[in-house]
Formats: sequence, C-alpha cells, structure tokens
Amino acid sequence: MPFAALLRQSLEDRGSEAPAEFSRGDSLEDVLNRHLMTVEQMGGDDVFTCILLLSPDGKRLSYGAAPTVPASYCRASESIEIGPYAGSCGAAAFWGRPIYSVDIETDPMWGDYRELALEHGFRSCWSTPIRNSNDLIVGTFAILHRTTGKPTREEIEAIDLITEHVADAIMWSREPGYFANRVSDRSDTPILRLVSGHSERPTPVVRLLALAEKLESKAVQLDSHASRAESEAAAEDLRNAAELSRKLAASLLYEIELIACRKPVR
Amino acid sequence: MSTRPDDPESLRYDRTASVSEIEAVAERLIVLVEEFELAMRDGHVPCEFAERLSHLRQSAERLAEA
Repeated sequence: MPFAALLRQSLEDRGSEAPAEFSRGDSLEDVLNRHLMTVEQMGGDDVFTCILLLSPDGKRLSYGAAPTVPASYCRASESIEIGPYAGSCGAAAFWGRPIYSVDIETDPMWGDYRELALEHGFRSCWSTPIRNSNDLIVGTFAILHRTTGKPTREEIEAIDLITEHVADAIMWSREPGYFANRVSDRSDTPILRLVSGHSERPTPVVRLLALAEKLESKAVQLDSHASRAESEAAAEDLRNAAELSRKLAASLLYEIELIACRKPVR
Repeated sequence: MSTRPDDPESLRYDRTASVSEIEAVAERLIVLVEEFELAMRDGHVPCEFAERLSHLRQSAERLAEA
C-alpha cells in the first residue's frame, strides 16, 4: 500500500479510537501522543513530531504533545511567544501559514531559538498551523529533522492529513458534541479548514505575506550589517533602513488582516 | 488570533493610501538593500544608499500623511 494510503488508514484507525479514549478519561496529551507515535513509527528514524497549543490570548504556544522530542528541548522552549523569529512554530502561528525551515542554522525565523535547536541536533523543521471551525488558530503541528531539507509534495499532503486528525482530537477534547457533528460532516466540507493549502488563500494575501516576510528578513540583515558598520553614521543609515523595512512589513500585515477579516476599508 | 503584531509601529497610513502604493515603496526598499548588499556586508554604506533611503522614507511619510 502506498505511504499516503497507509498513513490515512492508520490515522483513521487512530481517530476512531480517540472518542473512546476521551470518554474513559484519557488526557488530550495522551491522545495526541498516540497520534504522533503512529506518525513517527511510519516516518522513520529522523522524524520528531510535536504539537503546540496556542494560549487563549493568542500570544503564546506551549507543548500539547511531543513524544520523542528531548525533554530538555521542550523545557527550554516551553511557552513560546509567537513572532517572526520564534522558530518555525512561533512564526507559523504568527503568520498564520505553514513555515518550512529548510535549514535552521541559517533561517532568520529561528533567531530566538536557533542555538537551542542546533544544540539538540535539529536542522530543519516544518510547522503547520491548526485552525478551529471559526478559522482561529488553536495550535501548530511540527516535524523536526536532524537533517536539512524541505518537504516533498507527498510529505506536504501527509502533513495536511496528520494536521486534520490532530485538529479533530483537539476539538473533541474541547467540545464534547464535536465528534457527532464531525462524523455527520465527514462526507461534506471539513469543519476544520487547514491552512497548509496555499492555493486556498487569495492571491493578494499570498503576495503581501511574501513581501512582508522579505521585509522582515531584510530588517534582520540590515541590523546585522549595522552592528559591524565602519562608522556610526553608516550604522545609523542601516538601522534607519531596518526600521523602515519593519514599519512597511507591519503596514502590509495590517492590510492582510483587513483583507482576511473582510473589513470594509474606509 | 491576529496576524498583526501587538505593537506593529506601522506607518499610520490614511486609508486613502492604497495597498499598491505601500507595496511599491516596500519593493523599492528591497531593491535598494539588495543592490548595496555586498558593500554593506563589509560595513560600508555608499552615499547613494543613504540618499535613496531618504527618498523612500519621505515617500513613506507622504503616504502616512495622505
């Protein structure tokens, strides 16, 4: 059986067991750990998965499950404030889209957590936000690797599938009536809309996000150049450029929010 | 949750400033930074960079005041 079909079958088997597990009092962490172990057993030796849950105020991520990620890594990265440099998960929650860090050593998004990841031997990380039925982000699902690299198309499809099942488990734990509704809707549009499908997002948003991201990246570079500028005047020019870059990025994010919320522009 | 930073310190554009105008300034800034990337890596900032940056800042301020 092809990998995708095998994964789908395994996850559906796992998903069908989750309601009974919740009913007998298992915690969300227990259920999610079993989900992730199913994935890791199929993924090989270089797959370390984790689920981070977003705090109610939407500002911080904390571990929901991470069955094989070293405890020292989890302790040191517990309660991550989301942001553009907060690793793949912090950035995925911040930007509201998947973040595939191909090389943690050089990816600006890992600014706040690079050393921690490298110390534990992690070199790449693919993180995808999870949204609830109201389109709000409730957490992130990530795969860490000890090698650099980006996901293949098949792997992205697998991530979508995994994230859907993880999202189901989270929603089941939070809404007791969710399971019955979910089953009746299985054949229709999924209740949880995953954000990993780039094609779902309107083109202007994709374009603006990419531009804002690039501006943030340039700002980091400019700050770095400023720190070794040949004169204070040169450093000030570079810091000014970084500041302008960040302000423009923030303005673009605001525009994106307007588009996403479909707020009328006065 | 919001995709906007808590304190974005964004340019307080009047809503009459179109997204495309903001994009245009942003793209010009990126082009400028990339054009002088090599020199800046060595800690050097050519006068032309400072001049063009100043123009871009003025453009951004005009958008904010529009």
